[in-house]
Amino acid sequence: MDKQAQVHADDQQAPTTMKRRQFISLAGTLGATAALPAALGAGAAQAADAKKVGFALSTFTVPRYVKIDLPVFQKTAQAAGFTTASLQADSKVDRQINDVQNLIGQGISALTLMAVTGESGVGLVRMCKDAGVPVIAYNQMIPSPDVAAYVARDNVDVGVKMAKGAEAFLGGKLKGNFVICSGHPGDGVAMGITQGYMQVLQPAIDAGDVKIIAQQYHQGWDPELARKTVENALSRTNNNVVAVLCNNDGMAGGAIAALRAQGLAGKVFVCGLDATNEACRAILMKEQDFSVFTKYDEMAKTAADLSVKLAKKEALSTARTFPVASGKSVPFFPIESYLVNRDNMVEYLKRYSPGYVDAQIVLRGIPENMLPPGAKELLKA
Amino acid sequence: MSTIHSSLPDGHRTAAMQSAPPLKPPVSFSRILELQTWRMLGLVLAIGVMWAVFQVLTEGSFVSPRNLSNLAVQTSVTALLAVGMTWLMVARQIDFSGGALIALLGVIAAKTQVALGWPFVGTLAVLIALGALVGLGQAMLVTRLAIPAFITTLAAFSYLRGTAFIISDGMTVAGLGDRFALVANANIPPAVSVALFLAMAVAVAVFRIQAWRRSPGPVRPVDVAAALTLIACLVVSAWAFGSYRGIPAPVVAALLVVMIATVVADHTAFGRHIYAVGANPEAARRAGIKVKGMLVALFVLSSLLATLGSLIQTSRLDAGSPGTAEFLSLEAISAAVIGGTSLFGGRGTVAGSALGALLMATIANGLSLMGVNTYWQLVTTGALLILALTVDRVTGKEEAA
Repeated sequence: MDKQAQVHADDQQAPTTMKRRQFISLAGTLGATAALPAALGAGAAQAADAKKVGFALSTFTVPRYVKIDLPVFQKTAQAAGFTTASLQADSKVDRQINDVQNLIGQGISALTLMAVTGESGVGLVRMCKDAGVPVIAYNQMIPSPDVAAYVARDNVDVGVKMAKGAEAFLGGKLKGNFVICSGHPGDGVAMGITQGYMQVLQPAIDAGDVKIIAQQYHQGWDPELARKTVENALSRTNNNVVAVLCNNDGMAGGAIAALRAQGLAGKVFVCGLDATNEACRAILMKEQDFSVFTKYDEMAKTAADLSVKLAKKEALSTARTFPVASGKSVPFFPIESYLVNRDNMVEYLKRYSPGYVDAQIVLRGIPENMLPPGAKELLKA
Repeated sequence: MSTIHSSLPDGHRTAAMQSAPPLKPPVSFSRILELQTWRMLGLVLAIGVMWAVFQVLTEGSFVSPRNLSNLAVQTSVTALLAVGMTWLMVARQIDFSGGALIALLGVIAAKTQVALGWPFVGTLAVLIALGALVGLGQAMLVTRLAIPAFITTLAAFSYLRGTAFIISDGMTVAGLGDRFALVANANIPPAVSVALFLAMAVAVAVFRIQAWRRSPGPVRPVDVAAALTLIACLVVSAWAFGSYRGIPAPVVAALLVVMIATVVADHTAFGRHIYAVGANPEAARRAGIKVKGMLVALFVLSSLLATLGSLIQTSRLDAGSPGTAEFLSLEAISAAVIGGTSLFGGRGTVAGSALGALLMATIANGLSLMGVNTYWQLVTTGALLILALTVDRVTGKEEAA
């Protein structure tokens, strides 16, 4: 116990207050039985090894996390002389509670937390605060003023980029019937991007130029559900739809399947997010106009750099802040996203294939007259 | 026999046992059939009312040949799953794995077609083999190790989905090609479709009239209502499919499966045995019914219907998506329950479940046409389930006793 008190004292907090608060908050979250051993272990391990940073991911089922985020994070932290510990929660809120406890128990001195949902992250941040571990909210905003930094794609900006892309496709004037396929309900990414759409579209809606035929959130980002949404919107309007804005590429694929059944693929604007193999193919086949890609490698690198700084108790500096609850805000490190279209496809494939995408899968079987310049060389390589 | 019983909580078992004849005077079999038919007609009526409401709310888009064709296709996969589910539920089992199997087989289909460039027949053979194997595996766990179907298939719900994510790396795999697209995007030509449905309508009328002539008793109102409703449905189908693109392949598959299953349930020993096992497993066993063999067949059938569903969905989407059909098995269970299938076994019809699926798809489609948030769809479906069970409790007392 002495050792633990020592650690807490180092954190500039009165040990008794700390212990009580820790007990109350953790007992509230999941019951004291599970919480106390972990909290005790945290103190002991933390003293033994201070040069470790943690990464709690929400899932491994999205390839970027395994192929880009985690390895880049590990590499960057290791280059700064830190070891890393990481766990993933299978998109389960309750499992992530255990993950975070276990990471604290391993004595990390900063945690990069990709919360399963933003709200569920609030309790986790409190848990970390009580254990003296600063938290970087990663990819998904956690609405807590105790977050030390927020590193993510600027989702609203992505939505704006997509809607402006639609505007360009329509000859510079937003006009006609739109369909919006939003992602999983309650997901911060889906809500942010959709908010971006509305920023651009709202004036045109108010002016009566644009009509939103359907805007739906889709459980599990399911392409099949998106296909149905678009199919029904086409029925409703007798095929009078000019653009389908999709929060990701999977759903864009579903939208394209629905458009294809009406002979409309390529005539209606479609966009997505992630620049997956399938989306790249659809872009080359001119069925999808573009996808948006976020520099995930930069996102992971930024988080690792900030983790190291926080671990060394250095100050973070950023020009931007992100609003959280009750008028407070946290330092925001937005990561750049850009459109992947026919023009920069080859360049994109060169940088992220193999690994994130696979140029062979993207380019194979695409008719020669549809290939952009330089693609053939990639196919041979 | 603990196998059968063990999948049900004690309360259920007791309830089922109380339904045994000695406690109350038995209800005649024909009376049960009559109630079941009235129930189904009520369901058709409910669907009709909803169509009318949506027709008004969507300013005339709902009851159009194009949307009804879409609606039929949107119903088909759930209906297929609901057929397998109905029989399992009648036999006091359940299957939560259908949606996950659809996702896994979809991913495998896409991978073998896109990444490995297999011929269509090869992919098809692998899908059917895997589908049957999954069903067989579950049946073995249930019948040999007496693990309740609830747990067995819940486990499959999890590991099949997980495997789908592993194989696909979490990505949607798209671009299966023209041959595969033909599976679910083909149609029976409109003229042939109209002829088929009208011929069926005439057949129903002729058959019914002949039956009335032969039977000595008075004509029962339930039979008149059923025959007229069926003929009306066939005529509406002829109009809807005939004026758009003909009967879509997924609808052909679903209709065939429902029709064949209905005939099997009503006119074969196998069909009667399913209900016998559900009504009283121990009695069924003592009567010489091979209960375990029958359960194996039902689980394999359920998985094979999911396989067919996967083929349809993958073909329609031109992609295999590991996260797809997340709640499809629950939807199939809901469809079965709305269609009059009892969770306690012994009662339920395939046609009723298909109507349940159509009712749920109607709500989803109608709200989607209106542009209403899908959250409402969840609320409505939940309300509908409770309504269906309440109606059963209030009106079906005689039958459930």
